[in-house]
Amino acid sequence: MRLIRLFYGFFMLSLLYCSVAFSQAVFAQGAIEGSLIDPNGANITGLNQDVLLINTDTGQEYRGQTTLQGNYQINGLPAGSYDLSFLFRTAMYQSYTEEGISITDGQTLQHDLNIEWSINLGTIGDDPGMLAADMMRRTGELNGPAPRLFNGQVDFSGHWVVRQTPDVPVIRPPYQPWAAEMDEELRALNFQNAGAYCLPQSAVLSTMGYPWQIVQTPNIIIQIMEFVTPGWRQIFLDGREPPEFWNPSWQGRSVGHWEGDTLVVVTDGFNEYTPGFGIHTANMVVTERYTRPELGTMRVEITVDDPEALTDSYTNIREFGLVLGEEILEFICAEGNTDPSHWEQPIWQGRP
Amino acid sequence: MKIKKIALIVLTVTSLLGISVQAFSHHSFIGQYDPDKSTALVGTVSGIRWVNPHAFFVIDVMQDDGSSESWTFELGSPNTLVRYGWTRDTLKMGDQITADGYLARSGEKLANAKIVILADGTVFQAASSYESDAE
Repeated sequence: MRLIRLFYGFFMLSLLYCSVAFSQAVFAQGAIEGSLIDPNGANITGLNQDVLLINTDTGQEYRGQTTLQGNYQINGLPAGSYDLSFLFRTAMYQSYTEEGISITDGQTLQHDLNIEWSINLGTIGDDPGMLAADMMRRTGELNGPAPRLFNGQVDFSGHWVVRQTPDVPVIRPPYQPWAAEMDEELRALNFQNAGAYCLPQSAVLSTMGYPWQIVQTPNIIIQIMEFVTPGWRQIFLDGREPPEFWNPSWQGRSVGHWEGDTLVVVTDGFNEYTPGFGIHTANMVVTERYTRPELGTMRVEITVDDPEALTDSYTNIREFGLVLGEEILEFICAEGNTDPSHWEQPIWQGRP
Repeated sequence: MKIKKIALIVLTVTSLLGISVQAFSHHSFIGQYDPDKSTALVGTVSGIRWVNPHAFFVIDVMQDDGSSESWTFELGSPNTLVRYGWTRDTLKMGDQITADGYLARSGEKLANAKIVILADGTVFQAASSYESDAE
């Protein structure tokens, strides 16, 4: 009896295998390919971008990547209806979604994607995201272990730009009701922000596409940021104690320590206006955890605590790529800033 | 309410943590310029300001009646333009160029530049400096 069951099981498995092989032979796999086209009619070049297809019948996901020339191709698609999407993390282009793309048996569907400008309307020389992609392309792939200082600590020194990491979910601040209400009010003011007044734009990490440099010694780390005001940040590593009195400031006060190969930087003493964290109070504490898993990659986990403004702390992850041959260039925001004169209701008016 | 008084009033669209590089343009061009109104003009370069936070140039455009109009085109910041291959001399006074851009909502003779074609046919457009044979 046991032998019969075994034989029956083997027979059913064989049948299943044959039916799968048959269906694959009869129903050829399809594909989709095309180019990403900007509103000028030009290929969108220089970005390796993940393209996601979801079969609307089965929910199966298929992924491809755009080439640096702005083309994409995804193979191995069963016939069916698909939703296509990808996320642009640049100021230049809007993210893209399209539903109900039909692919038949064995079809290679030619399907160009017309991409709209994002907030900068395609302005020449105004896309730090594209800039970062270019710098990483020029650098090429970097392999090897993270370098270390003479004392054995992981060395984060170098020029870095933010990587496009669309698979990393972005966590929004879980606001208390009053903070959520204020957030909505400010959004209604059409993206006017401190940076447009040449005030500091990024308190702890520059996630713009402009390069930023880390200069590391055992006792202090200096971060030099090209685009943001004031353009520098100091992180003390000498174990110093908090001062008896501290005036809340845009950048706060950063002290770091090591936990194995992870550099942990705790920053507090912010003022209420520090950008980069949405609505918050002066009691906000930001903890960054820096790791360098390999030569060309730095990951930073950033946790924000602020019980008065948030219902809970939250953590976001940012990844940066090392770029070679770069220098920090000058950017003097206030030199010819005419932005505020175009606004009817500047949010900084009348505020300290 | 006391908490509100001490609360940060920075817009979260610029959030370092909540958003991405997308929101970090110095200002929102879409707030100042109309994406539904573009113009392509041929003119003579009569002014160049290699200035932060946004460089710009001026061209004089000849009208049908023989008069000329001055149009200003805004660019990105100099540090970015340099990395896109621009120099201070990319445009020279007196150059004949074609400029394509979006018009200002204010009605001024002002646009933001999305394509510039130099007299020798060189095209600067709002795209990566990537060259197609580099891959």
